Amino acid sequence: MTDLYISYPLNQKKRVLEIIKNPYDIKNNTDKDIFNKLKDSNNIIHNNFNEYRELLRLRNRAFYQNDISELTILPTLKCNFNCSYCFEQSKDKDMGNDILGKVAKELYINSLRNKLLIIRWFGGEPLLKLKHIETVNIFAKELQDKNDNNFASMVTTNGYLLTDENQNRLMDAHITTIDITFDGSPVLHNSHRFTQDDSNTYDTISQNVKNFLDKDPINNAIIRFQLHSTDSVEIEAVIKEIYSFDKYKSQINFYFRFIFTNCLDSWSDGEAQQVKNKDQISILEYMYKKIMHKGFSPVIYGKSFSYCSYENENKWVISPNGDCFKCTVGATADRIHGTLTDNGIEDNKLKRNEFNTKVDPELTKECKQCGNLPLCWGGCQLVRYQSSLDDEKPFVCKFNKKPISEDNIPSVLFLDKLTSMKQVYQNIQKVII
Amino acid sequence: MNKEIDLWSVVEELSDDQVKACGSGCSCGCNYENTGGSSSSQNSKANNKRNLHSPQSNCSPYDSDPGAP
Repeated sequence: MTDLYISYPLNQKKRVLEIIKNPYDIKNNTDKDIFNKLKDSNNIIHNNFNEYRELLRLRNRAFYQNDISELTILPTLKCNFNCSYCFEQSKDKDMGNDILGKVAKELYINSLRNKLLIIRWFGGEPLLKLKHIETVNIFAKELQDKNDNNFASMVTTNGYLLTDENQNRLMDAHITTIDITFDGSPVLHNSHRFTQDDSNTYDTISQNVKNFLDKDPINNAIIRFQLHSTDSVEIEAVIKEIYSFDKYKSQINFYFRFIFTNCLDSWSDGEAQQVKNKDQISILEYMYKKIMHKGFSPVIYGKSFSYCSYENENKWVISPNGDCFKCTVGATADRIHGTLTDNGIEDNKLKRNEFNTKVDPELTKECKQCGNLPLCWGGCQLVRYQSSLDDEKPFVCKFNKKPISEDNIPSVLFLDKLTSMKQVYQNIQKVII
Repeated sequence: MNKEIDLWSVVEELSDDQVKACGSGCSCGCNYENTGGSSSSQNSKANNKRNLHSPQSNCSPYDSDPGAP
């Protein structure tokens, strides 16, 4: 519940394990210190404390906390790329000025309670509508500043249009963080990601990112490498590419994703429920260890009390026509959960009520006795909801109550393992320094 | 500066009552719905309301516990 790791000297290991087993067996001051450390970190709790209720309380708070707003805005669905696996179905929509006005109203209406406003730009390729980004971000920053509130913004871009001029414009629009994806090594990337006229893109993207990082030390990038293959030559080629960012270690964070299918095809299974096979787990561990050993940092998210931050009522994905979703994947008509209006985002109450009615009792019933709940939080709620509509394919949790082993690690639980790996490497580096 | 439209002029259409200080069902006791600012300026309009609102920030209908985890 607290995400706190605590450590003891190795010579206390036996005693620590004994006290965890029987916390009332305190014999001396050392035992008392061990006990207090376990207690203060909530690693042991009182018998009368109902952990499940506490977890639900924390989850509810994550769902309804209303002083942070996060909007992912899709200014266009158009793209200058023609990737082999793209899931976007409607590629001809731009956001009009009328929708920009409604976005401003949504921000203004919530401006007093938005202690933190986060705007993520997504697409399509958002840099095709850079003027939209500038218009909204400059307004949002002024609004937040005038209320002494905070503002953060980042853009998920394919990086091809990240020219010197566009970099300056992004920075003037208060964007210093970019999300970039490479499709593996340069060879594999160029076979999956090409422009509309079939040109290669790897070198341009890589150089643009490095130029952006060179421009200002405050600039930073979150870099995702898609892994289309478990072939060792490919894996080593990806690691080599990461090493080419050596100069920018402090400005970048990496993560990896296996991608073998079109996103919509795998949607019904849901990434949360995908159990990585043993080969994939060992490859990921190998890659993370290699890059961390060189001093690179993986992307690690802080402790969360829900599976996805967009389960919160104030977090939305806004499409070019003002339809509001809870996820950037599969933004189709049946997944519209709200509408952007002149009075801000109006939640589809009927949809939410139906959603909660179908999903929450299942979570309550299935997850109550599952020790994995604080890590997985029941997985993606949208996946559960979609499954609830299909009598022939009911939702089946693939890791409910199952002990986690080396060949059975769901995606979300791997992140927890990664957190502890990162701590180990940070400690090693401290010792080296 | 590149701008599509002037968004400040767009939000001038909004009335004081539309600005939310807190979520519906809030238990902080600010009773914000009965407190309105009167300034025509968009910024002082917002500040009037904030001053009347409880400093509690993590205000949700499910938890009035002041401490965030």
